[in-house]
Amino acid sequence: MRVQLTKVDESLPADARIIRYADNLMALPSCTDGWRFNFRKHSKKPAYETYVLICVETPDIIEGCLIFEMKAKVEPYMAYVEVAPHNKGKGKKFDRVAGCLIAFACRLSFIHGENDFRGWLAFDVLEEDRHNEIKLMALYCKKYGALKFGETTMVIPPLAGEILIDQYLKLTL
Amino acid sequence: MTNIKEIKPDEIWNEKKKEDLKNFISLQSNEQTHERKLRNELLAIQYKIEDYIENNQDGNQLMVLDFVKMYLKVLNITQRKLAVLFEMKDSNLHKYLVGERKLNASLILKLSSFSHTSPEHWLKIQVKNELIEINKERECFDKYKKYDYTNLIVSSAN
Repeated sequence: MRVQLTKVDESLPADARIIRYADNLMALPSCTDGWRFNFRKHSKKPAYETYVLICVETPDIIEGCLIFEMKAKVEPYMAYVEVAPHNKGKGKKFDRVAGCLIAFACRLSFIHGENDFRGWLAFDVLEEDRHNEIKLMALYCKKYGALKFGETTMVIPPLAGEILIDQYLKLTL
Repeated sequence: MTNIKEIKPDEIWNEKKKEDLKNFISLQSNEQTHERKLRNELLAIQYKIEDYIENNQDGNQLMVLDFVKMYLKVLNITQRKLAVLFEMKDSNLHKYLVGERKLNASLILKLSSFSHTSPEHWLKIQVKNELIEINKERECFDKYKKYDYTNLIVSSAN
């Protein structure tokens, strides 16, 4: 799927794509590359679908990664989502990476979710520090319209998901 | 490179949490209006159409009829009723939907209005299917070599 990122230093748009990962593509990131999650290992789990976000200009560099799962075959769940270390913090290269990947997961939740679960995307916010976890959950509430459930789980409802899809993935067919 | 300790979501999942989350979503979902629930279903079909158009791999070929059927199922109406709405004979509409006849501007606009999607979506399903047909036919390209313009030049020179 075609998406658009923003080059932070020039404030210019950059064409990018979210593609389903296949083994013959580039190597997936892991904790040894400075990422928080071991996508290389998790992508091998049969129930998981792995997607990578790459820039058209630099197709060998992964800007962000997503693992989507259908729990019990009907409940959409964003198992892992992470932006590349070079897209984090003040010196980050691209903006909108997380937004595009989360919006993409919302879109998958419409396509694959069934009955009551159509368009509902669940995920967990897990940080080593509980204080960071709370801060991040508050951000997801505000930025992505997510609802809080229990200690660490959040759910993006269909209306909020639709807004995110329009904001980050609007296709010009 | 730094080696960071990974936190795994699997560690926090158990049967009770699964059940509780399921109930939470069902409860929230049931609070949606009928219009919102319908919109969720219609968006799902629209995204499926977009994916079909954009996907480069041929995979399974889907006809316009396949997508129309998805709408009919969600809206709980028959193809016959759709034909009446479109002011067409059922048999005539069917020929367009299965690709026996090419979609024209009028029918594309009717489908667009019916499904609340852009006319381009419907036109592009047709174009995508024609491309699939062309690619299939390309496998036996030899039989088309006789149409090369150079054959014409050679024969007129003789």
